Amino acid sequence: MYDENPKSPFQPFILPVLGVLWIAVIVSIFKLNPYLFTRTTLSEQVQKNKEDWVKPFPSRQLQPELTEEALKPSKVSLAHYFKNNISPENDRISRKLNRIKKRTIPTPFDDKDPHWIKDNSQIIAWHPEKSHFVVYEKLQEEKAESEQESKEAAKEQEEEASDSAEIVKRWSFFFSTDEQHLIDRPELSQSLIFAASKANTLVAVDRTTGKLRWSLQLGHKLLWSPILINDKLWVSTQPANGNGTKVVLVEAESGEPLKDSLDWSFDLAIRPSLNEAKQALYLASKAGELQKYSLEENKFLWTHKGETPLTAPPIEVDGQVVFSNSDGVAMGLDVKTGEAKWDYKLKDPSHSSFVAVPDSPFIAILTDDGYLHTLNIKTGTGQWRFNTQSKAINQELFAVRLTNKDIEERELKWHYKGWVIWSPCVENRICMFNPEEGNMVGRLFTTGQIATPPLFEDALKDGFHLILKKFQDDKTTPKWELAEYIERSKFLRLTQKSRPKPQPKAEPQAEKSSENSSETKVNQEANE
Amino acid sequence: MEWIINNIWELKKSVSLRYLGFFLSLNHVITFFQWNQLYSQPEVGTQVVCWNFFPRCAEAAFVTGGGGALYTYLGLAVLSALLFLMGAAVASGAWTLLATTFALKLCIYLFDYRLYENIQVLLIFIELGFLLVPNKTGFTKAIFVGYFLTSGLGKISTEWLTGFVFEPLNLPTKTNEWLAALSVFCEFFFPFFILSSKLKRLSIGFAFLLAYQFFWGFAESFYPLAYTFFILCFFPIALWESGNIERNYVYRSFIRPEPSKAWAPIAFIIFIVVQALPIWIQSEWPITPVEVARASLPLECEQKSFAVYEDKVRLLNHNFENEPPSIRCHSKIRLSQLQQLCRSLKKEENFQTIFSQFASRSFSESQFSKIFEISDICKK
Repeated sequence: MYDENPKSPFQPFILPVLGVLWIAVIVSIFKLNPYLFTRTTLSEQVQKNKEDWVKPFPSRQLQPELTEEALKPSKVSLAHYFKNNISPENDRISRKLNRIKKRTIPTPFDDKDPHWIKDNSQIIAWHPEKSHFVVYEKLQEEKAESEQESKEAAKEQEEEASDSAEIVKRWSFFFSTDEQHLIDRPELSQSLIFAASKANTLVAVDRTTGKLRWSLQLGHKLLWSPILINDKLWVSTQPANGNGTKVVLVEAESGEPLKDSLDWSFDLAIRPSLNEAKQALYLASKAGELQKYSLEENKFLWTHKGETPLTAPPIEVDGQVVFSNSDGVAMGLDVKTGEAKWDYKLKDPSHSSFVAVPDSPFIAILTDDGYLHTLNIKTGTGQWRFNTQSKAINQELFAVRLTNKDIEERELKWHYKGWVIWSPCVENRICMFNPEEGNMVGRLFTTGQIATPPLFEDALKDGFHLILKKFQDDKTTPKWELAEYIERSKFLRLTQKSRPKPQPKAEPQAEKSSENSSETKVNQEANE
Repeated sequence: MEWIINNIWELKKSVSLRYLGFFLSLNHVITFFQWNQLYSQPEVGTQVVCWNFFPRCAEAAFVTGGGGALYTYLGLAVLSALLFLMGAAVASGAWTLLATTFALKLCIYLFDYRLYENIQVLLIFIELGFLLVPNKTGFTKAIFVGYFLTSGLGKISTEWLTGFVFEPLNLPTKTNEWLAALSVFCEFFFPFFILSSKLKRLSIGFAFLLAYQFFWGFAESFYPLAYTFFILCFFPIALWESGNIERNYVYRSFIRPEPSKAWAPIAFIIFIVVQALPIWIQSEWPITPVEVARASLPLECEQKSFAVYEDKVRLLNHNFENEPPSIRCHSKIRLSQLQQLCRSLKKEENFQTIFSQFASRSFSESQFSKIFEISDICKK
């Protein structure tokens, strides 16, 4: 009918070119998704390789230089928790004390009683239901520093300071929304504060300026505050599947997460705690197991299979690990093998750790119902117990070393070197107990509710601070005071120096009570 | 002017091209419904997102102001469709109306970034060729095939091959992965069939591409299906007309002026080059309004900022999860919102500045990449 179209000169090449193109497409598809013929999905594989954090912000380049010292744990760091409740060994405190100064701390939160951390001149207020924390400093110390006066002059100035010496808010740090509460007590290095929020944000803030050093957004749920160990933060998180625990290691200086993370199959019941030699972590699971994890060998050294979870971090004392669980049973395990050495039923569970009384076989714990138990770690038996009837906000015990004069006066045994247990008791009182016999060797009356354990610091010899809760004239609005207590003899000397005719008015009740307390002998039977 | 007369002459003598003109006008009508749907949404309809080459966004308001421009666009499209149906006598009028409609569409399209879509790029190219380029049949075929090839090339990626786009079908993930792989193969395989002068091959290509587009209609949206269906219909008509012309060779021996056949490969090369530009020129925005968008999962992005006061530091919460995925991770939008935040925070006591960092990553990237980090946004 009619001629066919003349053939294109390119026609012989069309099919081979198309064939090559189609083969290339098929090869590319299988190269990009090699799992097409397997059960594994490409999405799963991609997700596995994803980092579940955004790089820290501000980035490393914008962060100021830090000294080595800056990253060392502060003395109140979580890494030192087992020593936090023991007074410095060289500081000997008299049982007869007087308040020399009080400084008002501006109220940090209107509706919550804050938790306080005091580290030398700084006081940090935080609360697990608040999205911010506040840092305070003593104003006068700053002035002294700025004038570059000598240390002695500064000390003298402080000693002569009047009751009106001020504590000022230095700065505060807010997480973005009110719902982003702090999940736990912040961790402290010499120069930084590390805090974690419920929105899985971890921040490092400069302690002096309050500037954000870095913030790290983690893809996992944060469980507790990080612990600073060897310039790294150990951050406990919950993996995306909700099972077990994933520990992310973060460089404390820059906030960069390290590639190595630890995955544990168990759910942690309490914050991991470092042992005294800082070579191992104690990990308590919700199932009741306590495990010792070696930081050097990266392996579990032993596992103690308990039935109920621990309620507070264990401590190491004299070759043993001691703790109590939610059934109120205290236990001692061999530190090397995890073998149970003894157990002892407390009157009630406790959410505090044991306090070890140095130079003695005694450990003490305050149960949630206010009973102070002292146990002998060698025998695993109860030494004595006492109902403190404590109404204090703070429920922590403290081991304090008394002076030789007190040892002599109270007939304490010399080989225990004057160590006694301080416990909040009744209302606005600290009771001092002989750890061996349970007799009360002294009492300290305070002018407000005790909100912290005694706060010892290097600059304050022969004394300590307490943060007290009081009420303003309307009797409903709380106010907070930092009270400084010193040895009575020193107090008298100072007050005589400042006033020609000494009229020691401060805390007459405390003085009287302290005297009276010498007559008080308390033991378990007497109080029950 | 001579150029336009030649183009209109080509339309007058070809039935298939007048049908193509009719289909293109119909596509304008469909475009009206698609865009009008967007502007009718009370939440997003009034928020025009300008292209970055416009210094101010205020000029774009006319597209949303009661939809006047859009309804004019609809009216012109309907008229032009009718004129194309009326035959060769009114072809010049139809051409003029279609050109006006096209110009109006470009105005609206170029003012609002949200109207940017894969299929619109194809329509704009084909219509531009239809109005101004000789050898319209070859041009349309080349662009249509080029569109499938570039679209298929964009789909050869980890993201696409996860089958994320088929998730609304609620099929097993493995099935989605296979569908994604097959869709890539489809886009490279069947478009060549519709170029064939053999009816059988063309029918295979036509049927498979139509089925493929229907499948897309179910998975995503029926608008692309409608657009491509009308363009696909042009191919059998063009084949039928070419058969007629072949037969007429036997009975007619006069020499006709024919447009150069070089236009089709030139158009194909230009189209491919334009689509390939982003490979060399890295930019967050599409390089041109005529780029086929890559088929990819929306970016994952994170913004962290803190407000600095004299006595406190506050982390800021950026909640942009409710914003459309296409603009959520846009650094310029994030920056402009920060400046707005600066203005409002300046009213607060002791406020100094904002420090902000913005990072994003695609689905296949394991790490976030920093897009910007500014230490003093309120002063800049």
